[in-house]
Amino acid sequence: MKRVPTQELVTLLVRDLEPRRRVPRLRAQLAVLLGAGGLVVLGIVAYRGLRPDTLDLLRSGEAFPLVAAGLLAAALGGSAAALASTRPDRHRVAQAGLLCGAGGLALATGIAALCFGAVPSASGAEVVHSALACAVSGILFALPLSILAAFLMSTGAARQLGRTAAVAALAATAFGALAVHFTCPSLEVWHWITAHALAPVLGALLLAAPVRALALRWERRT
Amino acid sequence: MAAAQEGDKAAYERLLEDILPALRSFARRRLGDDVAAEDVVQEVLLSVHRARQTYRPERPFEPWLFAIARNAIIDFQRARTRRQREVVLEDDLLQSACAPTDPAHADAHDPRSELSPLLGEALAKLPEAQREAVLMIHVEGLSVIEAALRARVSPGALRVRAHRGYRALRALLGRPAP
Repeated sequence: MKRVPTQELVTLLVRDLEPRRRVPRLRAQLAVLLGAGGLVVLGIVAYRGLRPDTLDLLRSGEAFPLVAAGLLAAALGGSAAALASTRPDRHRVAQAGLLCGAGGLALATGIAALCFGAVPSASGAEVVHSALACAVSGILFALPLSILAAFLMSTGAARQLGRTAAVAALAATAFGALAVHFTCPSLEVWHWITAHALAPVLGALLLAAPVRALALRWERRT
Repeated sequence: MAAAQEGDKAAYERLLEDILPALRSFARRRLGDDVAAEDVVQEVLLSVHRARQTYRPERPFEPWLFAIARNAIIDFQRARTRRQREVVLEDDLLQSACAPTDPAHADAHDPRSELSPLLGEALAKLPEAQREAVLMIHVEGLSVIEAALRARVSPGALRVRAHRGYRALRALLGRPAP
């Protein structure tokens, strides 16, 4: 393969230069995404109704608050990581966000399972059905946030767009799963872990490709 | 850089000229190889161009630039390791398949007319993007950067397309994978 001389490349790039709208501040974009996430959670909780024992469960110091805190950490960390990954000089924020998100998921799944010895108290089609219903609801609630995240990502320049899209989808689904967690009537720790805490992983797997495609499409338009 | 974001070509040219020596020295220190360093400098220039909207004037310019340079070096080292394993096989595949056709039927303007019928058929079966990448790089002899600019994708994306194209060609022509 041959290479163009660097000087010629400079000329080509200068010739190709067009005005570009500067990306908004990271904290502004993060505020928009987190604000939208908060609105989605509040809206769903208002629509489906907060489970009546939420305050008692949150004060219990058991698996319920652990899963809620883990999902919140995954949502906040993942959002920060996805947006920071689209700016070359914010890799530290991206790493911290990833760490926070991964720690949140570990807290919500592994630690909750280990500390509270969660095992399925029942099995069968009904259990699987209710777990799937919660996980799918979390992913569906994440759709508007995923679209918003893709748009915000498209204003930057992600180095690895596929991975960034997966992190954004994970964060969006964590918001959706948090809303499900506060509205689902189940008292099963096993259900909270499999259907609520693991939903972001499923969301990342399912939504990463569409988020990436949307971000790429909008990035090319600008 | 702020002026370049507004579309000021003269300011942009000055900026690119000004950062070249620092980038060359940074890349040479990290890679210890002038040719590789120049490749990385070109990748950095392209990344600066692609990511120019992500620079914010209230933040210092150097950390932004050298974060791009560090990433380019990491990507380059990964790609070099991968390519060292593949390049020999790709060249062998294309040289043996590009057997000269009847010169009477060759079209001087169409690079595809130089291909053997076997390779022509195999190329026709590739997805459009992969075929375009293989033709531009190995048949027309364009550099990755020229080909990427023409296809309006990043050099990395073009390399991936070309690599997938070679892999598909290898399978279509019945050659073993590396």
